[in-house]
Amino acid sequence: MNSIFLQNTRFSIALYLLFTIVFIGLAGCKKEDTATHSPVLVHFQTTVRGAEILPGTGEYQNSFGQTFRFDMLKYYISNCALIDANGEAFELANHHLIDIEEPSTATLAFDSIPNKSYTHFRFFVGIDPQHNHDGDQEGALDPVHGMLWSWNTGYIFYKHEGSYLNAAGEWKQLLFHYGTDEAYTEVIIPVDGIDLNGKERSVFLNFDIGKLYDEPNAIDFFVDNARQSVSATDRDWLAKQKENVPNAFSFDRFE
Amino acid sequence: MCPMHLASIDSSKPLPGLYTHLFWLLLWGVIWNGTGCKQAKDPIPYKAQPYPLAIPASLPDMDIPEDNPLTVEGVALGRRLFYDPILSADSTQSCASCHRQAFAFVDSSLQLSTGIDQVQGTRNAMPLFNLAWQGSFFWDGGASNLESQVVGPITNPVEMHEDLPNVVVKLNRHPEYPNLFRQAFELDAEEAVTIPMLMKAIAQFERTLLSGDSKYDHWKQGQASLTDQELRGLALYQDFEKGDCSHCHVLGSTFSDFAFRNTGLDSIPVDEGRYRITLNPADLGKFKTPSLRNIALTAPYMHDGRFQTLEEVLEFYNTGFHHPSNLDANLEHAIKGRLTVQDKEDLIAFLHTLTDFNFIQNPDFSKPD
Repeated sequence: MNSIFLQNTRFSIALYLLFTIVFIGLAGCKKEDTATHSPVLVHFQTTVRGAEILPGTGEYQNSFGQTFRFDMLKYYISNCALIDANGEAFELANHHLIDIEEPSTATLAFDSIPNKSYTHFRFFVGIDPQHNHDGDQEGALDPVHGMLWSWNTGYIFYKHEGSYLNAAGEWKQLLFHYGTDEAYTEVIIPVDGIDLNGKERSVFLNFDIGKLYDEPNAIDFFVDNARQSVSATDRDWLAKQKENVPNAFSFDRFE
Repeated sequence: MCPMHLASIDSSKPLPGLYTHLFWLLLWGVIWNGTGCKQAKDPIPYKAQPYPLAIPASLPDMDIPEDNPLTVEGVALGRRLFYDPILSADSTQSCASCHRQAFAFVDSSLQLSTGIDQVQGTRNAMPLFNLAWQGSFFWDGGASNLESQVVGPITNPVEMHEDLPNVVVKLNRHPEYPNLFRQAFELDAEEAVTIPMLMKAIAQFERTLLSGDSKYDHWKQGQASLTDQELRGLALYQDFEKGDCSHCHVLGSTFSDFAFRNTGLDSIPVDEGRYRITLNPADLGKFKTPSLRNIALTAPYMHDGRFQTLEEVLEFYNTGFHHPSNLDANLEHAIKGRLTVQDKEDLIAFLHTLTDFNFIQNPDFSKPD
């Protein structure tokens, strides 16, 4: 009796163990197989002609030679996608708020992107019209970030608040609140053939505020220095600014 | 395996086998609870109860956003927040400071309300009732839904002048609000109160502010009679050659189509109105058509509160309106001086039948204890 029982106990232990191992395999944290998917980090390097942006202290010049500073710089990057050589897009529906004072926000992390070669990274500056007119959204769209126009429900896509030196050498307020549905702008950047193979890859993109205020439409701070998009008098500036947006982003490298 | 085990459990030696089974079942339990990326969160101790909304028979069905259903807990929380000055920068003003129940939630008889910094706004506080049937909010429709409207008055420098991050801090360190939000939105213990939750709670309370229980409604339901003068007023209200109110302030139900109109208040608008939102020149000087329910309670009148009495309003529509290029079509051909003194008195008598005394005394809408 004893030996049979012991034998059976061992057998049951073995079976339980087997089931337990299988069970852990099934119920445990199932990550995407690295044979088919890879994590990708996209870093937005925001500068003025390559110079680091230092809120409050850094001084920069636009193409008119006008000196300006930043007190605040925040912007939304939405609906990113990686596009392959056939034009097929792997969509990463999302809204990200990048705040220059919080460096961690400049990195967008995507957990699992199918392993293959991609030729372009696509995103939009701003918030898509489907999400642009609802204030009670959590996360990046939470109005607590100060990016919602509450009197005319919609998000400020790009917010630069700071100052500029006027002709008399006095610091005056510089304020750009760029938004509205028509300002939602697509940017497609060639990324020089990223080949995903299961390892984490990092894509480094440049966002040059110098170009944003210059190419092709040079923004004269003596004329355009307090623009909020939503007034009739802001419309010319808005159109010029929108044209500049795609030119301000470029591919730097991947690692 | 099972038959073998059953066979092995000898009546004389049952315990070791039982212990083995218990051991493994326990281990399984531990593994089950401890697996790496489990989705289950802490047990939620609260389940918010659906709010039993009673829509008066005189009002249509209500569309409620799927992501913000009315709950007993949410409505109660929204009501408390509506009356709590914690939402203003210096804790001196609540929503209810300028939206008072006794006046159908306008700011008593003030033409323009004064914010916490003693600065006046530029528009008359709007009444709050039957809001679910309005497509947008504020006089110019700038807020695209009831939830989005909430942060406007809180942050406006001429109103409560508060920063939203500060509101979040105040609510999260309050002795009671975190638990009330937790109940209303079925939050986990570690989830903090956010601004979108605040917006949803106040919008929930505001959707319950229903007014459809006036003398007119009782008359429609055969439970009251109107006087001869009130009936004459009702006829004038619908007479396109006379009062012609019903084109815009559609008779019955919400008593407005809530469309934006330029009613010729000024030949050149002082306030751009709807144009400020759409930048469409055809919208210059247009404002939302308000409901005429409770109109006797909500003086003064128009977006800027320029008229103190209903008599002044009717005389404006009788003789006073201007002819801007985008004057509302219904006024375009209205003949000036078409209303007699008697007509105006009759119309005003009818407008008084739209007052809902139960609404302004409803204890569900008053400041909570």
